[in-house]
Amino acid sequence: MNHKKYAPVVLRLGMCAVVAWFGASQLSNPNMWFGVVPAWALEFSHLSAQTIIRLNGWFEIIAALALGVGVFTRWVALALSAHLFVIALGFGLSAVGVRDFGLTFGLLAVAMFGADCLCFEDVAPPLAV
Amino acid sequence: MRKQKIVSIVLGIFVVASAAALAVYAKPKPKLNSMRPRSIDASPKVEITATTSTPATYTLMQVAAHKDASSCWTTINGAVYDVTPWISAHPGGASAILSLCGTDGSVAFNEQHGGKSRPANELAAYKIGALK
Repeated sequence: MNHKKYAPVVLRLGMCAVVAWFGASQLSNPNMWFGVVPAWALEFSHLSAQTIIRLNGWFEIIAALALGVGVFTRWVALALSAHLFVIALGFGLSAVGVRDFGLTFGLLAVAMFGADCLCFEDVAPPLAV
Repeated sequence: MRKQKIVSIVLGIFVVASAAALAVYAKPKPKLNSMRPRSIDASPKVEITATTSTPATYTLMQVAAHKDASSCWTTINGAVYDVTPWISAHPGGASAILSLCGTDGSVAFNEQHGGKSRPANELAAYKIGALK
């Protein structure tokens, strides 16, 4: 069995599970997430914290589905990576921030690899260097 | 090729559904060390040791008596807080604070706001003493 072939699949599905968990948690229990909505997001969007959490939750669920099934893999992973990077910056050098930085780079790796052998879309060609 | 696409759909939906189900149904269990009452005796000793000159100390039983919106006390990391005015002012909603009334709120607070200075500063304004 070629384990190497499945390494990006494991990474992609692992990241998908994490994003799906966070998305579902925000939709099912938004109260738990009020404390992490940054002030700039409230000022910039003029939305309530609850609305921001719900929108973010739906974004993460849809992105996790796309990542899990393997459609627009590269772009979805890149968007999630940027999304997590902004969140990680907000937390700074705390345990949560450092964890999110790790997840950011995991998603960046998925984006760099593109579609793998178990994606719905065809296997991506390697990025031109 | 067609088989691969079916596998990808099933696998993707399964992973997302499993993670979502975990988030919705599998609530984290409270850490027993920090949630367990520290000084509950069999005999109900309700004596307030608060004085004006020294920091007030309260037992968990005394804190437990203030368990609703009319008087809401909680203990966080060894300190006692009267957070009654904060119930209606909490940006995260009243229910988050009401769930802490009369109990040790350390786990809830640390998980939600641990390491952040603003919530810690806001909390400090409600400190009334230390846990005995």
